Amino acid sequence: MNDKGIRKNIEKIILKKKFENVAVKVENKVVYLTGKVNSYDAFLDLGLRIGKKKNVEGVVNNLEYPNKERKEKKKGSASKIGKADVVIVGGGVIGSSIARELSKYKLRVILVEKASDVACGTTKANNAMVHTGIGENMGTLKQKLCVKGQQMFEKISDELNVPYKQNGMWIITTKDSLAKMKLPSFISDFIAKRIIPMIVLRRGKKLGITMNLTKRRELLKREPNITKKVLAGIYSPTYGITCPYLFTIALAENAMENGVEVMLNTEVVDIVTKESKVESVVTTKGIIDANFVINAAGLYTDEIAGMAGAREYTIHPKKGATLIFDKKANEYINHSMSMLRFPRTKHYKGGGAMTTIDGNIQWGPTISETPDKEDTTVTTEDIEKMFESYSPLLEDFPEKLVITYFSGLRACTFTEDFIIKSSKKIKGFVHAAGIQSPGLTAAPAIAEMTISLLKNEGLKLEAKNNFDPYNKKKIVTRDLSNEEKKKLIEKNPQYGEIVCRCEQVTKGEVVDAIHSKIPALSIDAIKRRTRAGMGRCQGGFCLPNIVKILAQETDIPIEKILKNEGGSDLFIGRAKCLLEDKYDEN
Amino acid sequence: MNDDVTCISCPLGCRIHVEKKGDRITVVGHMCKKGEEYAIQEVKDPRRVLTTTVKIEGGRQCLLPVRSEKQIPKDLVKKCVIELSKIGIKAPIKCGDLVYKNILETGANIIATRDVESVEKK
Amino acid sequence: MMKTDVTVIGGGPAGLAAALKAAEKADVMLLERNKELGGILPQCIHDGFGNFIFKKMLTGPEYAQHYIDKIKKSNIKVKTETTVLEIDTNKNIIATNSIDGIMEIQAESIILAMGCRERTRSQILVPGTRPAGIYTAGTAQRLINIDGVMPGEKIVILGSGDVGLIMARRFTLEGAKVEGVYEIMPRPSGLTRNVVQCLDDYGIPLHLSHTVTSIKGKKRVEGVTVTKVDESMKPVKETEMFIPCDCLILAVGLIPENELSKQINIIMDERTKGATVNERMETSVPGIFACGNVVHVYDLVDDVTITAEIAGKNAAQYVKEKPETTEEIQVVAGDNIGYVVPQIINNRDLDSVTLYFRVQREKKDASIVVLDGKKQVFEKKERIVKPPEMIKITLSKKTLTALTKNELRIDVRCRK
Repeated sequence: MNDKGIRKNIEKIILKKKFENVAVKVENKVVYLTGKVNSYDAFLDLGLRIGKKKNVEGVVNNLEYPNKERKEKKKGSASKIGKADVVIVGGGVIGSSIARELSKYKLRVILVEKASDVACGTTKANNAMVHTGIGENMGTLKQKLCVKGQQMFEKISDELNVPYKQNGMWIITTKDSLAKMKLPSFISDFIAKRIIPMIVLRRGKKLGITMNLTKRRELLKREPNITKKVLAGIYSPTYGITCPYLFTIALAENAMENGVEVMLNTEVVDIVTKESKVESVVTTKGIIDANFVINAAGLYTDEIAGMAGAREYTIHPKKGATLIFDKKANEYINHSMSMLRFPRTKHYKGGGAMTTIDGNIQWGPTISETPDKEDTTVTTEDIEKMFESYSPLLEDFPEKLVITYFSGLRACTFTEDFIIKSSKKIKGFVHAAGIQSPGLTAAPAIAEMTISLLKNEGLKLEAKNNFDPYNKKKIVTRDLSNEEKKKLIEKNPQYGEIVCRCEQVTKGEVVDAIHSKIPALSIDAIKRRTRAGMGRCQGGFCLPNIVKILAQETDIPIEKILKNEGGSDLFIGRAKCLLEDKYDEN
Repeated sequence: MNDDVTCISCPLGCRIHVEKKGDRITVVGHMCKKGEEYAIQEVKDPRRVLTTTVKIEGGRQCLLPVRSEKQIPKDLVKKCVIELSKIGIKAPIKCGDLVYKNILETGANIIATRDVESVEKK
Repeated sequence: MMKTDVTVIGGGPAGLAAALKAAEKADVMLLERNKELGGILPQCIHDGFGNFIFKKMLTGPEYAQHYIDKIKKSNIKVKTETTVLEIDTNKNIIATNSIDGIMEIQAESIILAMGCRERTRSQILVPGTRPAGIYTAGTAQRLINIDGVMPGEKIVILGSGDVGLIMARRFTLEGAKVEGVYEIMPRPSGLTRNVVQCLDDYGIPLHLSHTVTSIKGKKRVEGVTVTKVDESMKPVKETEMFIPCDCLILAVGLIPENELSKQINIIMDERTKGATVNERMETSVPGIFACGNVVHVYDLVDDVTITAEIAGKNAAQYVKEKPETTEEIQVVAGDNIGYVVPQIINNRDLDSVTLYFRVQREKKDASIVVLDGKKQVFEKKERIVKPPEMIKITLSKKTLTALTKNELRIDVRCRK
């Protein structure tokens, strides 16, 4: 179907749904919407309806809606950084994967990240599952890259020396799986027990995913705390877990080790093109001349693309909230489990009771739309939703043992699939956009695909002969035997001093994090690398310790220490600072 | 003058109403003698022990906890704390050491409430 | 491998008193994870400690200094900045520090004195963002009084526990503005004295039946939404109010820190969240004692010291001679009683036993009665009993020896 045909179809939707002030343009199978709607819901509704249409490759939704946030354009710096072969925008798992992949070649590669650390956006709040691909729609890019990415995950994790486990997952059906359909129970039970598992198994076979159907009795034996309402279970042994930020940090550090330059606290404000070709990238730190740009900016990919004049999609963030439980609840399940429910609702898209790489149980993630790209609130509704959705999975689960909850935003497009391709408008500009689940799993495959796109765009790739794929193992004292600890402390006494008691993190590990290749210069950056503050006291005990170590090891004064980004100061000043203003009152 | 006082002499926490007409003080709402005495004191001349911290130079701690040796008028507590925020004291310090004499003419001395070693001394 | 008679884990008020008492009769080693001894006392710079033991109002650091001085003069082996990683029922301890590395310590008896930790935001499920500027009251106290940094200047305090009340005053004196203290219960959870001297004295409002229902702020706290709650503690949406502030302090309770106790499957009391102990402060594992806030959260440090000395004395005694347990009287929390400590009396042949407990509901003109089966063996009248105020009663030798049943029940009744 050509652009004209697509346009006709869309005009029909607009007419049928009575959108009055909307204009449509279609170019290279990308739909551009302008005009006005009366709510964000309407903005979403129309975008999603169009995105679902066959042949539509992208929806740029420029519709106005009430209270739409306007962004002020940031100023760039005019100083010259120099010439790079490739600039990667964004230091999430995608940008970092691509950076490492590119570091195999003789190129000058610069990765720019606006935050003070890598893995700070969507990557950070991922629930860490390395999916098999069974949950994705057949034939999507998401599925293809997920299946491929999963096959690559173990090797890369080994090379980078980051934890990865194939801990398996149960996909279960219960008496509630079809509750919304209001069928007679003998029918819905039959479907849940026989039909659904059959479909899942068949799909698995097609994709080459190992899966075993398990009888209810056997399942109850293997997972004694699973809900008594369970009807059938399919065990998927290759389901994996990683740690999204350790994985990303390791990718970025390995890329640096192999020559990639990582510029943190650097925001892209403009991309200069000439004759529809990328010329340079203007950042808050200066200008980088480059003919190839990879857009891996997550939630901001649409804005970055816009800077280059290559806007071919619009991001509509979807929030996902997760609850984490105390280690005390770890023994409650042996494998992650997810319950199938039909029909899939707007707010329930799977998720489940999952184990993290550290063994904690997590519930989630939820799914809900939000217009704000920085809206990481966890609302009362989110919390209620999680209890409602995941509590029925297990019998008598100690729900009070919540130690933390957080939410993150998925960078979804209206076509709801990954968009990994070269811009049709701007030469040298490559999109790695629309990355939602299973983006983490797919990251290695996305990186490979991006490299081949760059090649097609004309980038010369000459392999290095000194590429070193390995990262040194970082010291994690709690994983060591007492004998190993003894030897280690003899060499460096700091590994004997515990600063975070819940997670048993030593001073040595905190110091290592502060002085690592990508230095951890905030409390959260240290937390992500060492787990200090992630336990049940949530930093109550270790925060003052970590603050002190950070001040000692750097030149940051204690009262200027940040929780994460600039402006997130932990303190307002030294003690007595507020009294100085009151001297005159005396 | 009228005043309501919550008694802290026992867990009962009586709300005691105190009325002052010239020299005559009437107390209503108390359950015991202690309560009456407390209420009258609270209205006539409420006093508190002052506790705060003072900056230390050259100590293994950066702050020294201090208190007033005896109670001072309640109204002066804030002023005294501000006064004490201006000073710094040199380590080493022993618990009980005098930090500030007769603060704001209250007749109360401010004393250290712990030992602080100096940095050099390990 | 190091050997000692008694190893005390934790150098707060409980550990200090227990170690000193045990050291009168035995070799003692004291392990403390912080740089200095005293536990939380050094940061509790306010007065109100020691009224019972010293008959005067001391500050926290002074109270601690008294015991620290004694420890210095004793022959107790003290190891600070030392964290215990493992213990087992044979009283083997694995601990770590930067000087000795990984230590294996073989003790005859262990005293658990790890204290308690603060409940966090997650345990009460406060929704919202996760900006900088949210601290538990105890952490804020440490930051201001020891580390010398100010966590904020416009403060909202959630929860009216004692540490929260004390911090309301402390923040005010340091020049910050405390916008209010919000308590979900219809009554304050701290002591009346603290409500009067920390809030009323400074005109800080206490809003009962209110809670924080959302936290706003991307980088630092920008404000919180507070909401009134109904009788079933559910927030009433129409009463939502936004309060701009840059700091939220949580004073929502303390929990005994029993991670180590759980390694050896000590029997725990679900209500206290601490180990079940007998009148000698011995846990269900023979030779392992517990004292202080690791058993249950006390109101007064004086009571911690007193019970810790009982633990210390008996731990040293245990080294000399393992007592034979002949009987077991269960102390049962009856009407209107949340919990009782000790939960078990193993030996009635004592001069006295003091029982500590809290009531569940406030009652005026109350009568505390102790029942041996159906027979009343003790009565004490109180004008008022309140959940925040711990009650203690002492059963005399005469009462104890006259007991006949293996269950002792405490009821709090209304006299009228």
